Amino acid sequence: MAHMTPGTARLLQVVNLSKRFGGLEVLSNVSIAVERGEVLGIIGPNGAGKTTLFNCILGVISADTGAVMLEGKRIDSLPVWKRADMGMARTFQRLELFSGMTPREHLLVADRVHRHSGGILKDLRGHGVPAREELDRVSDVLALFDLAEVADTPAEALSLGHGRLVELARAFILEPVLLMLDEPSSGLDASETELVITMLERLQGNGRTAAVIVEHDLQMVKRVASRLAVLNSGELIADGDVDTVLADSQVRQVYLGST
Amino acid sequence: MSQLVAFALPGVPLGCVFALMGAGLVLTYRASGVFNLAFGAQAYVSALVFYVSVNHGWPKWAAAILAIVVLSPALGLLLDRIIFRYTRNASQFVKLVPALGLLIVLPSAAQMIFGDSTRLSPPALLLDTSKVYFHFVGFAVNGNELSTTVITILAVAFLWSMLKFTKLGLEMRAVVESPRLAQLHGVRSDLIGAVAWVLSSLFAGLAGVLLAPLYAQLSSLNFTDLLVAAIAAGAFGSFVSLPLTLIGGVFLGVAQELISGYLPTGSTIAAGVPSAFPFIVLLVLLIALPRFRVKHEVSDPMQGCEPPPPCLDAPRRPTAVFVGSRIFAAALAISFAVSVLTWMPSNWVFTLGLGVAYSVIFLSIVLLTGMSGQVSLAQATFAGIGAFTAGQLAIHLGISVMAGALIGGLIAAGAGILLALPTLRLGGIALALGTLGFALVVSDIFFPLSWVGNGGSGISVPRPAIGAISLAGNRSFMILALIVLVVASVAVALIRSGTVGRELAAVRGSEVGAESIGINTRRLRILTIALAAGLAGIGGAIYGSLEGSISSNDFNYEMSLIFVVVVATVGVRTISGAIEAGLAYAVLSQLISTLPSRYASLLAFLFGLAALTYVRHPEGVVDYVKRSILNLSETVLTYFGYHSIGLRLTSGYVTCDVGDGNGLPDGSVAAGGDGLPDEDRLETKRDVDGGA
Repeated sequence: MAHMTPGTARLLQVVNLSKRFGGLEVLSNVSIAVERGEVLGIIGPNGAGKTTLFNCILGVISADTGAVMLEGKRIDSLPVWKRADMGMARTFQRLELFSGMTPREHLLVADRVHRHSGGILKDLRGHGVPAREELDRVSDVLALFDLAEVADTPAEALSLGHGRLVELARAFILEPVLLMLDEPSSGLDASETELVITMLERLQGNGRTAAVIVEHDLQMVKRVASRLAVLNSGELIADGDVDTVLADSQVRQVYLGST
Repeated sequence: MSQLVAFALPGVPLGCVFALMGAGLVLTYRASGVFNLAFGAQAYVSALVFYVSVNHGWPKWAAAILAIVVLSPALGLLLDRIIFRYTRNASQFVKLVPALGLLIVLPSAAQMIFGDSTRLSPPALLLDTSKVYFHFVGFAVNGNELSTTVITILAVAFLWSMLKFTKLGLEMRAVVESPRLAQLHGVRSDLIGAVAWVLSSLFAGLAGVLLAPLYAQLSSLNFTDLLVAAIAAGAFGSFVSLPLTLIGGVFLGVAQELISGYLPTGSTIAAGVPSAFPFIVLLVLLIALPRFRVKHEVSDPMQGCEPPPPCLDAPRRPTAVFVGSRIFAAALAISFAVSVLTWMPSNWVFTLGLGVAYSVIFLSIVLLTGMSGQVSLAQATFAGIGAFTAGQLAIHLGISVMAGALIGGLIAAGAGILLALPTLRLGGIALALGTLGFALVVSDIFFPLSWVGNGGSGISVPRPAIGAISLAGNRSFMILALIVLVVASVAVALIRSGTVGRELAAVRGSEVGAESIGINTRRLRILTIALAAGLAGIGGAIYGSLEGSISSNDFNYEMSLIFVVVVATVGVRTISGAIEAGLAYAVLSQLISTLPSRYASLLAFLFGLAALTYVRHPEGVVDYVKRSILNLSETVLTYFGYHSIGLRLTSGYVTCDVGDGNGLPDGSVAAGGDGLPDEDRLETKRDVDGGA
């Protein structure tokens, strides 16, 4: 479990991040911060740089200049898995489930990676099979995400809604301090979206976990986000309280399409 | 300076040969998506047909039409229809296995059809082979050199413009990227794929007939050995650019001639370096060129709708069948052990002992390829490292072969880590080629050294002794070999059911997803490669000790290819698959060695042929047969009214029932409808156009 650093360091701090792809400046001097327990929604038109920002924070791509800090520690040069180990969990816009594995196996592997409780030597001594308490813990999370019925269905056979929930459960079992969600409601029906929202609220309820959501569904963002940031052409054009940002004339012009 | 030119100039036609073959690889790769390692073998078959028909008194033009225009494309069409049309949507490994199978099948089939007589001075199609046409900077240019150079440049120019400027070329490239998307845009993927194969096979035929006269003798080895240089030439153009392939090929040819010119003659190094040179260049290119660092294969947006591979037979078995099969397997194992220790003739115990040693080596392939999804074409090399280490330690230091095997395993594991560190960044096909390069460098340069494998004469490896108990006899050694096999199998089984096994399954399922939950994929891969190399090293030491004397030929890179093909055929996903493959390989080799020499390659032929089924049955033929029996008994039981077992078989595991094909069921275009999957799975990877 990632420990909390006492003091004033913000949970996530992005400072002056810039990224170019060839001649195209995708992010220019973006600075953004996330506090513990808050949900930051990132919106913006397609091509605004949302996914690039997301990927820079997670380490999938590295920014050209600028810094990313988690709990006051610079993480820009760390690989993806290391950042995950520090408490950043994520879901994917295009599902990245472990094909061939069931939801239960998804959670078992994630739980063990998170707890660092396995290894080749333990495997060879026969301690590799899941223990009772691991199975119980996984069953609890499966029930929490309403996945008990499909717990032993291979990932390929899951519906998109179930797939999203498996990703969310996989992130949840890592007990993250920062949850990064990439368009969690895309392709979901109303009741599935409702379940995702409930889960987010529950996660947030512990006061420790923060979330960053990239999302096009404004209704959903309004319900879960406590703050809103708007990107346009790689620049942060607004950042603040949800209602204030949505009332901002520039935001309305570039994103909401009305003046 | 003049000496430099004199050494370098003969390298240009040689380099053109490399480039011509390399262009063939690039063409097949770009047009059909298959890394056709069998391109050289196809060329050889066509050269052989040309040779035989000319020797039967056919005029050259008629023989050329038969070999190049009729047979070669027909073979290509046949290959596409029966194999490669099913691989269009498949992963690189699935495409690689049948290509490896072909590399083995084609020459051995040709040998069985046309006999294995020596064929000297192959006829030239165009210009007179040895006639000197003109002098260039003091270098006499003969017909061969002239025609090779000119035709290579023309062919590369033709293929380049075809791929770049014609509608057909564009469609071919589209089909390679995503056959289903291309279909949705109105391209007849299936037809285009077939055309790609016909075209590249035509090119292989042309290359074969033209290159044959360069050698004093027509031999399949001349062509398959070219493969390495061809791959290296292709790597210069990242397997995409034909002009760069040409430049790369010429560079390789010139550099190789320069090296042979300046190296002192007579030493072991001098013999090994020039032939291993293309491999070294290939390794360097794979590691240095940024293009190969792409971790993931180009992702096909439609890949989410591919049916998953069939599940194994074991998880579906009803309890009664499961227990029954376990009891049967145990009884079989016990009667095997009792038999080899009591009544079986000693020479058969020896053969089965080899089978047990192979099984240990094959387990490493199950671990690496079956469980972690990585392809190593160097497992025989690791086995050789183990065997030579054990042998040399026993000869020089008097260390028991058992301890030597463990040390050999450790050294092999170390070599595996050394190989893994630079090549890990490479994904899919590049990793396989990197290991192939490693295999050739080690078996050509290191194994012949006197302090390693002592060249073709080899070294002897003694049988071990435990205190006063000698294990020199075949039977007593067999006990040791069986113990090693059981320990290795249990270890692999524990790894598979434990943390590492599940993490490997996760990485295989989605590398991005695995990293996102905190799995250090790099460390995991290094661990697997080291484990597999160590296991192969121990198996190799057992093999060496049983054989008594070993040479570098026992562990050359062809053996690695055969190993992968054998295991993939029998069953790469199960531990029992490795054991079945090892025993089958040893027993069949023994049986076939009693046949006339013409059939010496029958075994390779059979396994190569079986590897062609890999595309449709990636779980291996053994598991396929088991599942068929289960399906049959299910049908019979249901017929007689026992529904309960039938229901148990089909419930839950949905993947079992979509089993048989990797591609479109009948190869028809999407309009046929039956290739379309259910909506939900389609959705999972389709939603790509939403975000920035």
